[in-house]
This record gives sequence, structure tokens and C-alpha cells, in this order.
Amino acid sequence: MSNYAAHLLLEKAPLWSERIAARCEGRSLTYAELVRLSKAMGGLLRQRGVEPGGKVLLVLPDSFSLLASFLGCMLGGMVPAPLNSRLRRQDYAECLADIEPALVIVSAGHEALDAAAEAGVPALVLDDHSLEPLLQDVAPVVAHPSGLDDVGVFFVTSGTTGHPKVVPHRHEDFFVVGECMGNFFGIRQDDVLLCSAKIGHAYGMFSSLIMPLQVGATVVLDPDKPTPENTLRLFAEEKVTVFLSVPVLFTMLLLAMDSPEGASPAGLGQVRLCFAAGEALPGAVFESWRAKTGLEIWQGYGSTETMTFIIGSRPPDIVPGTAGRVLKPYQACVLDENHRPVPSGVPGQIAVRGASVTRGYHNAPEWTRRIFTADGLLLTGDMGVERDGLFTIMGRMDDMFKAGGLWVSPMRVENALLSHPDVAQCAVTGGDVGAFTLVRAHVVPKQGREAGQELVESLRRHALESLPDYMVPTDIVFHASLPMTASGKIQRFVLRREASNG
Amino acid sequence: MSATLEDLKKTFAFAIPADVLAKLDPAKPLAAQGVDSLAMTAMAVAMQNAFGVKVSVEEGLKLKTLNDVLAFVNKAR
Repeated sequence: MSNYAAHLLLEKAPLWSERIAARCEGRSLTYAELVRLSKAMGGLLRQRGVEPGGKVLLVLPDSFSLLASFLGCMLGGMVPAPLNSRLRRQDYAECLADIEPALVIVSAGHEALDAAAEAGVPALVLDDHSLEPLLQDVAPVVAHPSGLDDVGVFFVTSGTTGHPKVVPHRHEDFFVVGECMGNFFGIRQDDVLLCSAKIGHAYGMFSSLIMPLQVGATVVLDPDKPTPENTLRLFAEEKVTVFLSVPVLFTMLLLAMDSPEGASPAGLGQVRLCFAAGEALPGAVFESWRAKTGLEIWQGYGSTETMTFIIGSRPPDIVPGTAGRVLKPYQACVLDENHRPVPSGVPGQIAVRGASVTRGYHNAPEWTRRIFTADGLLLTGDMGVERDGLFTIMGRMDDMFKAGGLWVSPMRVENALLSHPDVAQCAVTGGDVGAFTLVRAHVVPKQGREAGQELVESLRRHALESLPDYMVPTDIVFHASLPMTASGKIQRFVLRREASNG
Repeated sequence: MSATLEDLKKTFAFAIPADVLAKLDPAKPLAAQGVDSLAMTAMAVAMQNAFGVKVSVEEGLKLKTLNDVLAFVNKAR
């Protein structure tokens, strides 16, 4: 079957139907139940008038509801668009306009619900308590004969302007990613996976859905924001064996683990494999983790556009500070500004080719044109260097950056700050303090306004009203003026350089 | 003059929610007492700005409790 959801639910799941597919807040869902709920959800969506090819926006925490909604949608030939549930009303409004979904499935009281109402898109309010009653007596959907080339999912990622970019992936991409990541990680049926990246991200998608479900393993879903306490509790209670996360959570775990009552290495329970991606893992975090737990943290590099990690490192071949080697079936190279390959050891832009690379952004031909070379290589926008087959990632070509493993668009944050009455000018850059990455705002206050702690706090409160929490500036630096180009553009790179030298 | 725990708490007041700050045990890891990564980052920034010290990645990984932070600040100044 070329419909990936049909492959998982109708070909694979019956092989292990009584095994536990997912655990969430102490509850279990067997593979048989997952199949039944997903089929019924697909049926319900069709009943509500969503046609094959129609889009459904999913704004749900990681939960049984999200698994069943996603798979049911895909099974019926519809296209699920799972979104990060920490975004804000404006972001959802833009996604609704870009994706034009037939329906939004959302948690009660969520900002996306207001955005849907405003856009006149019908919404289905859902959580794990209403899931079973809602689907009772709903006729199961008939698996849609989707082809490998048909779009199976829309991911949303942020662009430099702050406007979301919609990244389609085909059913075939799921098969490719499943095989590539399955081989890299060697996930077994008796594994219990926990991933701190949510299913709305490609990273969470293959970690919490594709990898476990294709082999009959168990995924542990955490509906909340990941904290070190929760993570340690889940390690112990759920007997997690594979932990996939971002560098900041490893740092937080190291900082939390020495508590006198919950002594350290024991806190890891049965975890046999730790993996970090999303940002560069500081060498000191890698070393401390190994010293404390005896485990080396595997690492990977990829993007929403590739849907998976295309470069990775695992023991015994981990060279701290590098991202690792290219994984099968991908090809990666480093290009100069004219898109010609540079010799080994010379920095340039990393470019990629491979089966799961997106064919382009949804409804954005201009963006699509910019990310492919004439030879069809995907330009990642990341600077890097290759030596002896090992790739090192050096930073972005544009002004985008990550804080705590999540993308931040400087313009999105700047626009929020510029709407504060005391701000004349501002620029936003990434920065770091210790092992943490952060959002730094450079602000020129309006004349007569005092630049002090009071304004810092007022700016942070103001930003929190319209920005996801992880985009709110942690460090606010006041300036008398900002470095500008002759044409009046703020030179963020100058500010970045000044900050790293200061 | 040495900084005190009260100085630290005043410096961190904007970074940590008041109810979390009020209950902090200075001898226990901050990360195990409800201080999340965003708050932790804001604290590190506040500490650098208020006390004029810079934290490396290695040093940062050792600053687990308020007492650790206090000792670090007073040694570095």
C-alpha cells in the first residue's frame, strides 16, 4: 500500500495488535485501539465534508487524539497539517490563510480556535476524554488509494519574515524517512521512545509516530512542555529506553540531576540511547553527560525541508563539535556562492539531495525557486564545512536563529517590540549565555524614555502578549543608535559580532 | 562587598515567577524546583549584567543551586 497510514494501520499494526502503541499520562493505547480510533476519525472527517486532498489543521498537544487525528486524516487521503501548539493567534491566522483547511481540530480554549472562528473555518474541539465518545458508532473510513507521490502532510516552519512557510511531504517521504531513521537508530519492538520535540515538528513526527509504529514499539507522549522533572519521572515510570531531545533539555537535566533525594545516574533508568538535535550540542554538555551517565549523546542535523536527519553521528564514531557523516540515502555537499562545490576544509553553504527532500513550499513559488540550485540540490541556508567526511555546522546564511532548539525569526520579534510605545528602533539576534541559546533584542528607546530595568520588564511583558514564549527576548540591550547600511537596513551581523566579542 | 542571597533574589525577581522564587531552597538544584529553561537563561543574563561576570559553558553546568551561583559571583567579582 502506498498510502503510508494504510501501511502502518492495515499492514503493520495487525502484526502486533495487542502491543501498546502509546502511553500518555498513565493511560495506554494498544495498536488495535489506535487502528479503530484512526479509522473512525477518518470516517468522521469525511462525514464532516472533508474530501480526499482536503486539508485539516491539527492544533493538539501530543496525545492519543493527535495520533488518531493525524493517521485518520492521512488514511482517508486527506492532508493533515500538525502545528506547534505554542504559536500565537496571528501565526494560526496566517496558517489558515496559506493552507485553507476544510477543518481545524483543536484543544478547548486554544488561541487557534479564535483564529479559526475569525477565518470562518469550522473547528472540532478535541481532547483524549472526548475522543472515544465522539467516535462511537462512526463508520470507519475506507483507506484512500493515495499514491506515493501524493502529499501526505503539511509541516509549518518559520521564514525570515516571520511568515510561516508550508512544507509539503509526500507519502513516499514517510517510507524513506522510516527506513533511514529506522536504520540509523536501530529501534526494536521492545523499545520505549520519548521525544521532547512535539509531533508538529518533523523531528517529533518521525520520533514519536513513524519510528515506533513501524516496528510495533511504544511511544510515550508528553502533552506538556518538557521539563527535567517530568522527563526524569517518565524515564522511571515508563521505562523509557530511547530518549530524543534538544541540547537545552540535556543541559537542564544535568542541572537538575544532582538533587540529594533523586540521585543521578539511576535517574536514567533503562535509557540505552540518547540523541540530541535541533541545535549544536555544546562539547561540555556531551562530556558531562557521558561522565554522569556513561552514555554518549548521538547527534543529527536535518530540516523540515528534508523531513529527517541527513547527517548524523553515533558511537563509536562521535567527534564532539561536528554533526557527523551523511546518512544513506542522502547526499550532502558544501557549495560556494555560485553553487559550485568547494574543496574539503573550505566553508560554504550546505546543500542536500535525497528522496525525502520536499519538492517545494506550498503556494510560494518564489521561496521554492530560492532554495534549489539549477542541479536540483536543496540549499539549506546553513554554513558548514566538511573534513574527511565529517560535517561541522557553522551557523545561518540569513538572520534566522534558534533559541532552545526552536526557530526564531528576528523580524517577527522586532515587529512585536516596535509596537511598544517607547521603542524607536530595534534589531533582534541570537545569542548565548553558558550552555543556553537565547533571543537578544537591541533597542533604541524613543527620545526622553529611560533605558533601564523598568523598560526591560515592560518590553518583555509587551512581547509576551503576541509572541510564543520562546521568542520573547531574554536579553535586552539598549543602544543610542543601531548600525545601518547605506540603504537604511539594520546590520544584524554587526550586532552579533559586537555581542560575541563583548 | 560580597553579594548575599537576598541580592541574588532581587536580581532574579524579573526572571522567575514570584511564587517559584519565594519557595526556592538555596541548597537544591534550581532546575528541580520549577525554574524552566527560559527562566534559567534569563537568570544567567541577569547575573552577568548585575554582577559583571561572564559564565562559560563548563562553569554554567556547575551552577545548579542558588548557593552555587552566590559562591561563583563572589569569587568572580
